[in-house]
Amino acid sequence: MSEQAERLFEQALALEPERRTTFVEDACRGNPELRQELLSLLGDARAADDFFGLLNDAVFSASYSGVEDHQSSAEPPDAELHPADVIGQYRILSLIARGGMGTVYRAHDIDLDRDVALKFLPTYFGAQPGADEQLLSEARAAAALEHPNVCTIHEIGETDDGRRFIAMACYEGETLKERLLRGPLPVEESLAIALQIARALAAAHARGIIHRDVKPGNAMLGSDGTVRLLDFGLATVTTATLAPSALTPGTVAYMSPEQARGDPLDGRSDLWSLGVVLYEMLAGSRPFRGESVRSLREAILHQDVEPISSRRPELPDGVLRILERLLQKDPATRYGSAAELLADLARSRGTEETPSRLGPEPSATDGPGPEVTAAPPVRVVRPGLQLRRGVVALALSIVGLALLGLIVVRGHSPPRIPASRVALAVLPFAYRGSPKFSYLGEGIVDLLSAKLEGAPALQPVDSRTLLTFASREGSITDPQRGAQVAEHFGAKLFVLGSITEAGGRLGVSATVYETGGRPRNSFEAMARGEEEIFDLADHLARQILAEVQDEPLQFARVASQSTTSLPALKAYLEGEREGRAGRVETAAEAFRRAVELDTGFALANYRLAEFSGDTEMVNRALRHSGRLGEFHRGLLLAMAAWARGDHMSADQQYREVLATHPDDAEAWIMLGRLTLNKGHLLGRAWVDAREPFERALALDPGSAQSVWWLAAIAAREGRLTDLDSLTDRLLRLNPHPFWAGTARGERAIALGDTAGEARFVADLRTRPDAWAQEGGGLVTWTTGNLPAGRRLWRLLTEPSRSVGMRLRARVVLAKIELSNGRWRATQTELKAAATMDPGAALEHRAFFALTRFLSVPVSKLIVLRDSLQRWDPTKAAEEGDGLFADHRGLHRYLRLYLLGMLSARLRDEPAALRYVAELERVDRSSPAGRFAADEAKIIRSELAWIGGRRQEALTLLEGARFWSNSSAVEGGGDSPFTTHFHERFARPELLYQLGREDEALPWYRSLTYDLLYTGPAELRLAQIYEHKGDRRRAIEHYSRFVELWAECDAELQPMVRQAQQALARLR
Amino acid sequence: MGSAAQQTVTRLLHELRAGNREAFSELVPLVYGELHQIAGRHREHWDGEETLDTTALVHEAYLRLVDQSAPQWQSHPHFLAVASTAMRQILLDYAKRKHAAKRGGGHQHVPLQKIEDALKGAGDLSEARSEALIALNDSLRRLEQHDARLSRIVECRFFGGMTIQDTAEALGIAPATVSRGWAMAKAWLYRDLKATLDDPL
Repeated sequence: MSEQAERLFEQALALEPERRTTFVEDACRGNPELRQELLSLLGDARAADDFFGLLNDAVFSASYSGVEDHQSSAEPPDAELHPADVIGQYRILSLIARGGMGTVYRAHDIDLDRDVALKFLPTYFGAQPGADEQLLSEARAAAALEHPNVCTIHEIGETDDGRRFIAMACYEGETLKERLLRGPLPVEESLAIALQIARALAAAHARGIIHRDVKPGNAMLGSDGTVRLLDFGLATVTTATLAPSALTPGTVAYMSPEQARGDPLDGRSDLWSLGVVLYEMLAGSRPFRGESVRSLREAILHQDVEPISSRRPELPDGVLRILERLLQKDPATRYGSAAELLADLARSRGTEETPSRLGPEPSATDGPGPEVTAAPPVRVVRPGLQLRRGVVALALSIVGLALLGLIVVRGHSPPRIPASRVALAVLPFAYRGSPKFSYLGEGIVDLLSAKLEGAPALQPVDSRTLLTFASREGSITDPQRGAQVAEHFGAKLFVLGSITEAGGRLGVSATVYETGGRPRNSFEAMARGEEEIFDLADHLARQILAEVQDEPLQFARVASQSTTSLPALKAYLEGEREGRAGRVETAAEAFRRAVELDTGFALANYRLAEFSGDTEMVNRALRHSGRLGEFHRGLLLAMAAWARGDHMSADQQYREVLATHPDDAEAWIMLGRLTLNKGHLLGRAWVDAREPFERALALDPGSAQSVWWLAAIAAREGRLTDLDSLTDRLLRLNPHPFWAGTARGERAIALGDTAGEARFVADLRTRPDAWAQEGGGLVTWTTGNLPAGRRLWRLLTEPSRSVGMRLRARVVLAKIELSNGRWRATQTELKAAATMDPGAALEHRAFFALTRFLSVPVSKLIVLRDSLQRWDPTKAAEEGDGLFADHRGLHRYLRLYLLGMLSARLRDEPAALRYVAELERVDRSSPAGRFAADEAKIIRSELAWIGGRRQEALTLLEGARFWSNSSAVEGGGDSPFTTHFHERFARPELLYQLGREDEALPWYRSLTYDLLYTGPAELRLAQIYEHKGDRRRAIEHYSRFVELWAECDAELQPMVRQAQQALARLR
Repeated sequence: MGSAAQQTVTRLLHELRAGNREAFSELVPLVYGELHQIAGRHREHWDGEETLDTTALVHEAYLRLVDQSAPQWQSHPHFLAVASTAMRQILLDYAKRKHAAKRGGGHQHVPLQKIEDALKGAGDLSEARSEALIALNDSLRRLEQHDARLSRIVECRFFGGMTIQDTAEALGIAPATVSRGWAMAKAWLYRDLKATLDDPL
């Protein structure tokens, strides 16, 4: 190249692409050769880019550093026009779009006084001879097409400097591409759109015009419901002369196999493209994916389409067949014509299509017809029926979510009550008298049950569960009804009674029945006043006991469970009542009062611990638990274990209690929540909480909480009919608006109901941070729908939110991106976080850089380590740092953990050991100290692993307690540190490498319901199952992996390809 | 504190960072030697169609050559730049060996288009890239005559896979200069390759 051209080339590169052509024109005025040279240089720059990219891929293994900034070279120069520029009769108004195919402006036609769209092709096409002629003839043909679904072309014009443009009608609305950014469409709508496009194609093909570029970006969805196909016939020009680098994955994705091969085309090629579009509308993503043009082309030519039924199982067969036929790689087996397709499409919509008509169609079945859903009926919120929450929350988040995977092995039979104990149900007593004592009707049940609990011969049904159940049944006065209720709880005996008050005196009578309805014996007692109620209850209890067994009675224990203080008792009973009604705060308050009045009141202490979720209270209750009944004692121990972080024990404890007391709904719920929250630490998946919640629901059909979680599990497992009916059931229970709203949102997202999702989003926008975060996060996590999750968490990055909220949202978005294998996108999110809080962002950047499937460049790790070394965490506010509550007081140790791990990865053992030593020096008696000790073990484990000492690494890892005093629910946006992602993945990896695949399985499984390592966990599961010969499961997991990582970074694509090859092998 | 060899390398890197250009030419053979040895283990893979994990190779060399107890992050980009030059040489060695084996020493040009097609999958990939590497090396030598800094940028960006930031730091120029230079160099090289390979000699 000439020196002058080179100089100008360099200058041109320094400009923004839009300015380049003007620059070229100015610099080369009067010198057409120079202009030619310069333009061709700029064109060459693109070709060079492509070549170096190819060579790079062929020589070097993927690594991140070389590939970034790859697109720094010259963009093809594009002329820029500005508002008020006049070209012929058109005055430019604004720029609409710029793409690889050219630039589109909105302009005003001065002569005809209407707005138009002007489309200019990129200039370098103008330099190719013959391109103009082609453009002319095709465009003329397209202009001759007059069809409601075809974009009208007015004319083809030319600017003074010889650039061709097309003037088209301007349409209001959005392109299908924009629409698809919001997610998949309902079936009806998709078909309606496809139908209109097919009509356009039919009209064009009839005139011998092939579109060649059918894609969502070319389908305009008018606000009136009409769909118009744009850019007819233009693709001939462009594909013939296209520089390879202008082909982007976006363009290639819709190409038919014959187009990809460069073979001659006919109308069937357009039909293929329409098939791709239809697939995308229904599934929300394209059937063929690939990061590079090359891999995409490969996929189109050789890969089987993933059946859409795995994504949308509810699609009717007719639609599936249409898709199948459209996406036939061999044109001979595809639909022969658009007319054929039209007939099928119409049939699947239940209408008739007359393919020969090209004129305007009747409007009735036309148009996308957005779903109309009736606004949910306004409900009067009945007081009291709020979702019970807060019980042993310990996380102290507003919803106290816990997702523990409880897994009871399938086929496990319900626990049996030891035969020696007789199950007995004390039903609410009928009450007559002054309202002052009406609480006794239920109160006596509590009292009696508590008393009888201590007796070895009897096992009373848990009073709380029973009373909750009974309150919905209405009053139970006759033995037949009583028998039914008793049977429901598996009780052999039941007690019915009544209390009558007159002049302050209380008369109580009670009858013990057998479940057949036959009375065994009746008792009566009299109390001169309220304060004698204890003795009265005592007396009754003895008599009941005597009825059941002959042995001498052991009452000392029994009696002491309750209290001798009447006010305390009343407060306690009030607490029970409030608790049953779901009014958690008032209940806790009442129990607090009871305990103040009688500090040794074991049961009240227990309840207080349960309702306040306070570790202090738990310890206190433990101190006074000597007098608790076995049942409550067991639950208390479980609670305490949970509070300590000893989840294994808690789990075991609950199971033991439930083995002998299977009728306590609340206990089942506790178990469910342990499973939800901590299952991942026990090698379970949160969906394993299904059984406990089903048991709880069976015992207490009004438990909104159980219904909510069962719906969530149904959503995650894709059982959409169950989801639907459970959601309806939940809404009928009138839960708190938070639960109702999230349930609706969850259902909408799981079912692909965009209108429903939009409503949910609109609602979340109006809610305060904590609500919006919990709601959006929960739904993301329960549906497992990452695109939806992105949308929901993006909401929380809006400026109206607090800084802390926005920061947390960025971290969660980073996690979501990484779950899809998009490391670059992760970094983008973290960069955004850095602008708000550099310190917190630094911690998280380091954390993410430790992700195991990434190969982060050494230089980056070094820089991170260095930055961390220099960062002073004491500056980060110890209190209220706004990011994660868990980090309070822990920054010092998190930093050491990160430094240690980074050093380990850099194979700098001495440094790593220094950090370990520092962590081990921390005083273990504090919570932070215990945390530090565990992190030290983790670093040691990492060092051992890197040193090849796998068994040692595993032992160390198992010895570390995965610190978490909060829930693992991503929905809550919890700290990735305390949820121990890297360690939770390391564990099964080590097991796998040690050949202990079976043991690794449940751990990998638990990760698949989570974020971050979801993909690799699926891949491993697939590999293990393939190894075991379980073809079905292997295919299932490989498919899920490929789907999850479909849009992953190029560097990670090899893993996806490996999985695709495996799928090809297995199928 | 590190072995004697490590001390030498570390010292040289330090000098390089301080601006002593000669340190560069002293370092190259040291790094080359180490890389050659490490990469030798991977050679068989390369002869197939496997790609070379140069990042890992360079990192391993780095660990062996540079004293880890000193703060090293500042001279890391410089090390990488040296390694890039060394890596270019190593890849050229591999390519020549492959090329010689195929053609028995005779030198015949393959048209650029054919190389490109092969790299895309329509042809012998292994052969094509050897051809490409040899031709690229020649073009790069010519570029060096024309503008030495551009050729250094290419070494860093292409052979070393270095980021724009690291390249800028190693060469002591602004990142924007690196970007522009990289684009210019690629265009220049591509044209030169086209001219050389497509020229019917």
